[in-house]
Amino acid sequence: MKKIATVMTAGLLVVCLAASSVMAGGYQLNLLGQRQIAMGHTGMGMPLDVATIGMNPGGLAALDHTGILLGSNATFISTVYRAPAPSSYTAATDSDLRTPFGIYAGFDTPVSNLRAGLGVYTPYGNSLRWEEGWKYRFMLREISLTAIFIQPTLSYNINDRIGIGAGFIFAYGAVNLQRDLPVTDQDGEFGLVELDGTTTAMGFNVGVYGKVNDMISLGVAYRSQVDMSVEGGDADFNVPVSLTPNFPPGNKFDATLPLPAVLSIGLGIKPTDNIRLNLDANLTFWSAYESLKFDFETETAAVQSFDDPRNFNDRWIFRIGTEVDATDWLQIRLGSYYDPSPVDEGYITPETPDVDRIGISGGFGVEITPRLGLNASLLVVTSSLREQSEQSAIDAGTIGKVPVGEFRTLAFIPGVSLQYTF
Amino acid sequence: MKRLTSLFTLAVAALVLMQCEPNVSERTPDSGTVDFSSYVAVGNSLTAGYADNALHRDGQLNAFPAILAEQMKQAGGGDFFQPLVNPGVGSNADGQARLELRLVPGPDGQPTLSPQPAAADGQDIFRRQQTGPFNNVGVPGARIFHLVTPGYGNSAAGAGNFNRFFTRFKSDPMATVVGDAMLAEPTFFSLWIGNNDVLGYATSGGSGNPDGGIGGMDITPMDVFQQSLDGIIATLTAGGAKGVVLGIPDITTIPFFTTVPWNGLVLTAEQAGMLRAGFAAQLAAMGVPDEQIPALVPDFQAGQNGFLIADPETAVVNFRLATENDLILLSVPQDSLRTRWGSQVPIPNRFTLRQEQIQAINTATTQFNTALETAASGAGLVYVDMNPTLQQARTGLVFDGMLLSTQFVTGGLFSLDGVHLSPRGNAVVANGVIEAINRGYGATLSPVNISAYEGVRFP
Repeated sequence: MKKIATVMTAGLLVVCLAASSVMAGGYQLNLLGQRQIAMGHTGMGMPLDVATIGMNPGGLAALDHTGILLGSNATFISTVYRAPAPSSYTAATDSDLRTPFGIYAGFDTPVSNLRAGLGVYTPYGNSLRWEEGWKYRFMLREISLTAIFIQPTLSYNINDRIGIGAGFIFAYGAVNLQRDLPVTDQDGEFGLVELDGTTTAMGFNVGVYGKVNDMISLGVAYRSQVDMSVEGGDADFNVPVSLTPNFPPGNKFDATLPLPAVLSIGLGIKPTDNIRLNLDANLTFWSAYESLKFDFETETAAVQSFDDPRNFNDRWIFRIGTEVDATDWLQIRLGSYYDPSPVDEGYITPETPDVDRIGISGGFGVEITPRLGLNASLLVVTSSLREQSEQSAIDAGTIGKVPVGEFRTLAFIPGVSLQYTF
Repeated sequence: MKRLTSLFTLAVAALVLMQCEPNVSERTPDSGTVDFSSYVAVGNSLTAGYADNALHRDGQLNAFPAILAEQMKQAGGGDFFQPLVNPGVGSNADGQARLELRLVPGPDGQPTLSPQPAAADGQDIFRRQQTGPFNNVGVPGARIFHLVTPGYGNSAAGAGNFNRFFTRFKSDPMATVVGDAMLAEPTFFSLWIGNNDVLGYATSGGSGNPDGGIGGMDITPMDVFQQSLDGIIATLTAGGAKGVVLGIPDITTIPFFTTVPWNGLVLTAEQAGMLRAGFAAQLAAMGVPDEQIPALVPDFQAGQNGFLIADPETAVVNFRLATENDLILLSVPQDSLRTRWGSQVPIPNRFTLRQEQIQAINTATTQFNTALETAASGAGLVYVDMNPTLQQARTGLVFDGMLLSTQFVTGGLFSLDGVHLSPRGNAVVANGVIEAINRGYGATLSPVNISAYEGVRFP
């Protein structure tokens, strides 16, 4: 028991203001709950625990329990770049461990059939640092994007078959982006630009959950787009002294990054009392990310506002997951998903070196006491090598602004959560 | 329970330890039909890694042959020995230190960037006699015929009759540069020569003989060029070596010739009037008849004017306003240009190139390049023409997300002397050569990342 506690404490202690990268297309993180992650991140059509506050708020009132859930993942993630033939050059990201998290609590209210909940989770994020001095250092050296959603939620069972739910989202966002500059000082050190800003925004998350019969259930949820608009972020240029007129100190920038809306549908099946099967699909409205625009307060010949096309596409993710009750205190879970990239060739950038991903997950849940449960999951994300050819960049009109070559991503994402049932 | 927990802990630990880098097969460069085991670079300052108006160690280490040799090592290439100078400010033939960019007070008192000698005196790079054989036998200042001239490094020949840069690593007082190249038993070579055969004339403002001469400021006669070239190629290929021959860049791609604008003289109406009146008075004092004077007075006007340049072809006065067909050289003293030169006093010939001189340079460049290309193909060698790349770079060319151009200082391709390449420029040439080798010899040498190399350092 002590050991378990140590592991869990360690896992939860690293819950800092953090989110991680590329577990899903673009900069989406589908890591809302450990039980769900272990099942291919399904659960839209079958509320499994209070993490449904983040996934499908309509399921909260239908849950057979209320409680509090604390969970977090650790991300071991790496993307490798390979330059076009005949180059023997490769580069890898060297990213810090990040810990996206989800904290959920659901309560009964004095009103019958009405439950209240609170979710704090990280649906989007990105963190990667390319190895020092890599080929496209002047496009990007490192990026850290954090989005934390705080979502108070109400869920109501209309009857014993249909539940609805809605949550208000207060979002906090932080971005830090660093690029090397192609100028060197007298010691041969390259210049650096660091763009740093934080912001807040609002949105909503709504969902419906319905039981067709004892075997089949359905769910639909929609989480709105949240626009992260940084105003007056810091643009710090570290350049040789003689160039400071071109790179004035104390410069500011404005930029907006959309966190796209997601429409999710799910089908839950209980063929027996011991087996649960989920089929989910999520449509992320990535087309909201048309371009990345940075406006600098002070422009010079060297510091120009820019508006680079991104042209992301709406994409469906398909998921399957299952859970089996092995004993009355142990549940075993398995799942998988296919997550096609929202980014067309010609628009792949060093900050989202996006590839089609396949996720395979597994995990277990343990009932430590009747009220205290532990969930653990492991998600492995792999991809095939994806090429962005010179021709595709020429066709997209992005040549010179995007890397040319091949990318591949691999991630190991273990996670744990602790649940206390009221 | 306990077992499960420890299993989980183990799994997590394994993951932490695991290098979770995705698997990407690395390419192995191949030498194709050639052998890079002994690569020898033959040429002039561009091969030696001369930069910033001096031979210095940083320049040598970033010379295009050094970059190339490093890439060849991935495909069977051997060590690349260079006659390196000690770390320091280096030296040119006159004992001056390399240039570095400094902030100096400008004409308006504001600090302005200017290339200045990095030290009062150059480093003594000539005292130490280096012992080869060397893989880089680039000799700054060498013309094509110098490579086959015995005694080109013989200090006993007396000042002006030998090249100190060769003296410091020659194998013997009577050695030739090409002969010393053969000491390394090349299996592969690069030959970039002929630049000085036009640049001597061009950088001296056309002071020498455009129709052929072997003086320092002449354009080399075609027959001398051809004969020397044939001799060099015959020697270098005698042992079966293959190689690349690089062509001569067009002077319009070289900042030394393109930085100072021909029409940089900005005048107010009042200043223009005063200048015209001054010249009219001067002509009258010379005894020029009144009716001829208006046609002879330079037509200074308010706004941008061509600089006043010396021109022996202009009747009576031997000066005129520059036109877009003239070039003003980077060597023109900026102080003089700010005070009287170019307006009250014509810019002397040695700092300008007039249309007919540019024409002579272009004609010679084309002829030499034709000879180089013909000789290369005749010997089964690969010819590399950097001109298309350099021409594109005049308006800017993006490498690895970085915009480079032939602009002086800011463009990043050229060093502070405006003639020789920066490390970045050398990397671009190295990639051009690699591309040509791959195409011509079926090799798969890996190009370098231009972004790994420096342009000009700023204070």
